Amino acid sequence: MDYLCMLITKPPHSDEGAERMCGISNAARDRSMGVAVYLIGDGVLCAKRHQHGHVGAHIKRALERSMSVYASAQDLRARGIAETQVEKGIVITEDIEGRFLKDAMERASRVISW
Amino acid sequence: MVDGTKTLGIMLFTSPYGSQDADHVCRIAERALDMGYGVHIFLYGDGVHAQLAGQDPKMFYNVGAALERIAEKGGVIKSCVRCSQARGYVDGGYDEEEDRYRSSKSLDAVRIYSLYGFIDIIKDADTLITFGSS
Amino acid sequence: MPHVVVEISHPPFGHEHTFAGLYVATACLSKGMDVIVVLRGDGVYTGMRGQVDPQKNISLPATEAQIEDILELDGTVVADAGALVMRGIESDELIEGIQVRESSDIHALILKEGEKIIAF
Repeated sequence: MDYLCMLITKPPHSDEGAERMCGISNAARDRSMGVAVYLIGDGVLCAKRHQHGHVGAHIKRALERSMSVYASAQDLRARGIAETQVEKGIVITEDIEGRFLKDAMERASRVISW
Repeated sequence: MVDGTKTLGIMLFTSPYGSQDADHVCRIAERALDMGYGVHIFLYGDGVHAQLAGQDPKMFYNVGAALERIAEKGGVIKSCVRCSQARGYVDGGYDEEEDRYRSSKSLDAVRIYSLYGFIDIIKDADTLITFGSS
Repeated sequence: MPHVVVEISHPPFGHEHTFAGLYVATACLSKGMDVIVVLRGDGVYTGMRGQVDPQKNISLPATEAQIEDILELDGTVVADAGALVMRGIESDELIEGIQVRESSDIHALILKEGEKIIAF
């Protein structure tokens, strides 16, 4: 199966990077591609639960549509976001770089970083 | 199992310390090298400021030191000559023996190079990631 | 040779991103790669025609000429239809040869053709 791997460093509401993630990851699922989203830096702010607006809704929908979403544990901790404040279903990992690289280098047919 | 023959290409377009981009680049590059992948980094636009020698941040991740570690581990780091010249890093011509433009201000770990250094990365890297889109 | 997508998300002159991205696109084309330049968000301003000597007026290189070079070298340039509408840009205000596509088509194009995706 074709597989899309995305690395997101942008926050959810002030930048087009997160918005773009929504459009292209949905398009990939529509084409039956596997999708994994990796949130690092300010990208982890997309993982915060109870968000209003497009990106928060997309993250929920992404999880429902069997996309995998990973968030950097260090970046979350640094921003004071506890596991209980993260949308259920998002995998929090201490080794986001290692996980991303394994996916991007060994599995993905398309890799996008914003 | 990782395939050790694979290469990761990375473009950095933003300066260190102004954003986390350079930190992400260095952390991913080091992790990739530790996992056995090849790594080629191209510093482009304000990304060339990462090559400045003598960086000494007090409370921030030291990007210069990280680039030196990456080069020691076998990572290849090039920076754009046009961008470097504009920002005052180039103080000599092209050194054929060293295959780089001369600079007394840049880290040894970084080779100032034509843009075609990046085009080769685009062509040859198994995976390409870019940082600094906004 | 990989198929390359270069995304431009900035207007032509406020930041170096646009010039630098189009420069990469041209260099990739000169090495025989297939290149699609995607103008999205504020990047659609870069698709507008009629620049008057930016080098003379504001000491910056003409991105319109870069787009023309890319089209001349058989590169593809697409602009996001929704981003154009939002900014009041009509298709006859664009550089000749730029294709206007809906976001969904652009996403499909990126997924199909973007073996290497470079975002500026």
